[in-house]
Amino acid sequence: MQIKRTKFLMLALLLIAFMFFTSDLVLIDVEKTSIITAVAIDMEDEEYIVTAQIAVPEATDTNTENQKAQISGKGSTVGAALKDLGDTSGWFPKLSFCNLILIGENLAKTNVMNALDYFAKTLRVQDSALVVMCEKSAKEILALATPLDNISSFAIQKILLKTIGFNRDIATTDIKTFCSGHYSDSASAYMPVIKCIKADEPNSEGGESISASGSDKGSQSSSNSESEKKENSDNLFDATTTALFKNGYKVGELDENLSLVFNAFGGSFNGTTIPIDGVPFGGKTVNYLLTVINKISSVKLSATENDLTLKLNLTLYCKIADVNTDYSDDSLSNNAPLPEPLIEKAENFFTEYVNELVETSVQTECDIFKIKEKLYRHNYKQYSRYKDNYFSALKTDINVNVYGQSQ
Amino acid sequence: MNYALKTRQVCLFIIAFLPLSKLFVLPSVLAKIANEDLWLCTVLSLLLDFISLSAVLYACKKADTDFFGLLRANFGKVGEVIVLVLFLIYFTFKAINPLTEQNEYVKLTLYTLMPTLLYFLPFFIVCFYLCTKKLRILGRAADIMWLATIIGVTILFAMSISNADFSAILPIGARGFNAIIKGSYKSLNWFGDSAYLLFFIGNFKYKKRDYIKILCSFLIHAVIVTSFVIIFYSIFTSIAYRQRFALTEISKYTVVINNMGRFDYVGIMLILLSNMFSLSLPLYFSCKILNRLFNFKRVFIAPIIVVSIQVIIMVFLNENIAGFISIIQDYGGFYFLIVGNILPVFSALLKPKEKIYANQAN
Repeated sequence: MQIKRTKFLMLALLLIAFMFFTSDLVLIDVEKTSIITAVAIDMEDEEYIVTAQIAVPEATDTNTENQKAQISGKGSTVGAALKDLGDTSGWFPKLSFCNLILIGENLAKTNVMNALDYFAKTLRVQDSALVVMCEKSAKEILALATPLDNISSFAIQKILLKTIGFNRDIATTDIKTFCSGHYSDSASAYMPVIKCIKADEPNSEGGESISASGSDKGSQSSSNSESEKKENSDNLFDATTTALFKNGYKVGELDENLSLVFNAFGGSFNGTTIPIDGVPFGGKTVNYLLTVINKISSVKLSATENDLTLKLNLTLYCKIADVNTDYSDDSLSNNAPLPEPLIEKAENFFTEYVNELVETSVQTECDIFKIKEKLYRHNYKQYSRYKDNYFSALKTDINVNVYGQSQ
Repeated sequence: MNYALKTRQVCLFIIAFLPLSKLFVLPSVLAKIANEDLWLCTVLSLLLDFISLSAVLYACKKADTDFFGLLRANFGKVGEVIVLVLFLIYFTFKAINPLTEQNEYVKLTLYTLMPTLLYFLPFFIVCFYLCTKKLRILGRAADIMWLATIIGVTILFAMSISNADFSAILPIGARGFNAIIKGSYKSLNWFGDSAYLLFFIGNFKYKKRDYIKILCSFLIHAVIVTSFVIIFYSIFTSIAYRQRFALTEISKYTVVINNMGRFDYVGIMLILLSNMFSLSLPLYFSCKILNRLFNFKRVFIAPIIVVSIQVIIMVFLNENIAGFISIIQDYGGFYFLIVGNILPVFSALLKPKEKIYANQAN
């Protein structure tokens, strides 16, 4: 019996060895595998131009910066363009590490789902990869040199994926979230718009210098760029604008403030700073910077036979992060209660932009608050009544409260 | 009497092996049919299994010999052969779907560059080895692998629950009764596990209140499967039906993965390890039936036949397997219902061997 068992084991080992040495398990030579870190998709003459940014690992015993290569392929579908990219380069395009997909301006004029659906369907790419739109050609954005990182896609990801404590002012989305929004009853989705800005230019919307370290405008900078890389220090990225999509087509945009308020109804908002300027104080006007220390928000829909009401509640617990008074006070160190004029101004700021956000949603018919989904899930009895006219029948009930430390 | 299994091992067998085949493709199949009501389909199928299992446990309580002996005593040799052939066909078809899922899973998610069947074929070596062993091996495997299943499932749940929007399963029953029934019918292939338990009859010492332990184990299995299906739909909602392999998908959106990489693969690998035994179950019991029918003198003949049939199906239907499985799901439902659920219920009516012989003697 023991001899038979040994014979069987030998045969099994031989079988495995045969399979291994005859097909080398169809492994692909690592030298011919490209590790794609980001993909830019543009559209020219009804053809997709896919540009892949490829990280090139180099064996070295010294600390060097990340090396990259950038190559393009074209085809009638995104899959075909990726195939073309592989054929022309000789590299097998490995998308497992692709964490960023950029959509070019021209492509955004068409139905973006025709391109993005490939990434949702294929198992070759993680559908947790971030999706952004570019204000110009995606290929150009990807090719830009930036002082933040040798690989521009890494720099963009730093802006998009901020850790807790940073500003939550960017409406970050990934393939899965975008697709589930698109394929939901609402057929609505959103993604941030990447804009290229110069480091020494003030931010057009915020009016502040982006080159200031620790800027709160969704951009980053480096103050120690080397002189020989002077040209690299020019390009920084801003992603505080949000593009809205309905049925795959871009239908509108949220500006910096609207994006900020939209994020207040999303996940974590703690650590976000809000500049409140022109607050009357002792006969003068004072500028404040508030930091959100806690947030409670809810978006609820109430549907009856007579009306459909969207109830938006936002409660922010803030502390003063900075104030430009002429004298020193203890409001920063003591986490003191917020002055009444400041609370009023902050509440007005949020109420105004929440109103504008709802108006934008109604005008563009982009259901960013998932009203139809809420109607189906929580008010199913009224679903058939409002499913086709919920935007026209919608009333809003907005309730914003800003609190500081209690007395 | 020397029993092959202990009650503890039967309980751990249910927890370790029965949930696993339902965690791969089943959630997306149900999502396509019943959308947010997919969990109701799951609960309905589990309820059918619960009823069947209760009946099998009643049979275990009364039995004085194993399943084969009971069949022979109650129906004679011809009746036994007919019932065993029904189960042989059942297990052969029941094995195809999970094996194909696992094959595709290995090819498409673990070896994405150049998928080939060769990656999966070594599984059949392990399966062959298992099939040559006596029932005791399943009990011993369950003693160890239940921990892998529980740890694996816990890791996946812990990493995915924060991304789930549980309101996604509302409103309950809006898709209609027909969608729930249809979903349940098409998923019968993944259920009907009480058929396995029939072969445990007379192989473990049934003590008073053992049924509570075994039914509680089944409820743990039911909670794992239902929770998994609910979390899966709560994460993917409108695109759930497009996520073919739920197991790999649900946990990858957590922040931990951004910071640490695919840590969830620890859980996935533990489940895959345990699933190796789970996949072998229909083949294992097919071997036991073949051995009973033909009384092979050599222990490896039945495993060679059973494993070869599955390898041939996988190799020759490789390109058409999706269509073949679709036919099994569309037209095989009634067969799976009859053999996987209804026949086990009738096992409760089987009379003990001694009682029959005593009646005949009188």
